[in-house]
Amino acid sequence: MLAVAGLEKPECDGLMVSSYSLAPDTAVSLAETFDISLNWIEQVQLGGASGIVGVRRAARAVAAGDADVIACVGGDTFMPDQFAGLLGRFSSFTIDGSTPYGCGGASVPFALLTRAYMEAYDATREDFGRLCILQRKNAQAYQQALLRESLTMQAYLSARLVSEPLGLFDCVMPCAGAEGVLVMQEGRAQALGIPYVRLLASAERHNASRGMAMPLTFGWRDFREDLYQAAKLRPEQMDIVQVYDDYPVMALLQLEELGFCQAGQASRYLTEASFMPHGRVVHLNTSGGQLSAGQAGFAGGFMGLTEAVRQLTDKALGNQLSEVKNALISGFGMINYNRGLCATAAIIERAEL
Amino acid sequence: MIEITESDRSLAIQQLARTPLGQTATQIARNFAKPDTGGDASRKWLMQGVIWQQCGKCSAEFYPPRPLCPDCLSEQLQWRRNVGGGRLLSTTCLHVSLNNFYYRSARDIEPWVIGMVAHDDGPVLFVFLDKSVSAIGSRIALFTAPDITGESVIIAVGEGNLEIESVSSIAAKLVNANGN
Repeated sequence: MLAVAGLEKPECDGLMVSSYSLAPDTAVSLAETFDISLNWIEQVQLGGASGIVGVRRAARAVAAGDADVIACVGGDTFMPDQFAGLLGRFSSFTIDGSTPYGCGGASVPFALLTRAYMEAYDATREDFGRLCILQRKNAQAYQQALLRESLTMQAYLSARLVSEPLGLFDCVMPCAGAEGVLVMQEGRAQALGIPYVRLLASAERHNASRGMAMPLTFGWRDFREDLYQAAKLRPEQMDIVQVYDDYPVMALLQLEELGFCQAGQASRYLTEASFMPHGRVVHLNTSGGQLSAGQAGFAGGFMGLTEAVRQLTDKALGNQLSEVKNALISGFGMINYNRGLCATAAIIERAEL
Repeated sequence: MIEITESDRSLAIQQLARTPLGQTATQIARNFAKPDTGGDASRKWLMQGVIWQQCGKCSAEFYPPRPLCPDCLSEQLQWRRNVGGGRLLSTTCLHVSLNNFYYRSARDIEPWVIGMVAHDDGPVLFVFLDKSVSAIGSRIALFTAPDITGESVIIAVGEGNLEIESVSSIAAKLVNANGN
């Protein structure tokens, strides 16, 4: 990142890190590892919400003058023999309340949620399948994706079952990787002559569904009006939307809660080729999402953000879109017991150079 | 037919080990189970209902275990056995588990059915569910039994219908995947 931006290491005076597998090290361990002195540091451990929440914090720090250039990085790696142990001991509620039922990891809670969504809204497996097929098409030009071969509905439906109704292609593939962005004042980016985007608005909400036995909303609808007002944009004006897709049901729920359509209706606007709410194409998970690229732990919470930044600076690693001016990115994270607790979203726009 | 080796058991014990509060819940369940089954040395025991915490100040009941009351934040908590029922919120049939015991028994014998239950007194629980119950909204009866590590898990069956037979068969599979 520093090389692309033409910055020397000492010019980066802020660091925001998200990583599950960094332990026992912490963000400040990395300051010593990288041999840098910092004016500002933050470690955001919010799973799939980490990227947006971290950039939101970094933007406020830069605006307040606490730091000039903040590197925001999410990265993880997992040893296969440690994976079960790490996921099964994610929280004390997990240890006592869910792991004993054979469900270390997120597939069981999301299988239960998927079935509840199907019952509530009369959805079918095909509704989720269309999303997976659409995203896989987007991944074909994205060299970094682990799964790039085209997916058919028959292959989706007949894939090995993991936790019903979830099959193999409903579950992200764990992998190693990292994503990151630099956050700085606009004038600094202009002086450096590097392509950049503007952060127009962002929001976060945690434990929004407390008190609900089987929630089908997780917090985005609580802040969406404020988010769109701050950005001076409406959902029907968004060119790109990158939703957090650890499981297909979450992608649909985010599109609904963020106001692209009514609750339970997202799949009606979704074909194997496009997402078209409001009679207009919105480019969805343009690099294929985690369902195609794999989930590199907390870096998965940065993927929608970095892909949107690349698209809006004409630096996409594949599948570059034209005529796109803005993007909405959303994140979701932390199954502490039976539901994800952290919902977040941001709106960014292209800077006209 | 799967063989449960000592190394399976020790890996399962590592992966499924409970917090100190979870271990306390198991001890209390075992004590309640004694008069029902008459055996405390055996790895097999069965208790009707669930064990969870109740606030000594505001009487709120909650689960999973925690160090303070989620309603009034009091630390004056007591353990309590609750024999009430609940309502089925959702189910899944688990074919693949990261836990070797559950993975092998699902693959070689039959997939585990996991449910999520809203208890009439509030808490939401993961349960091992009798496979004959599938309709969301079904009335559910709850029992507690040990898993392969000796720690307690919750077993749920449809209310009223041959409860003990269904519960015993799930409880047997939990300590020995072959159910015998």
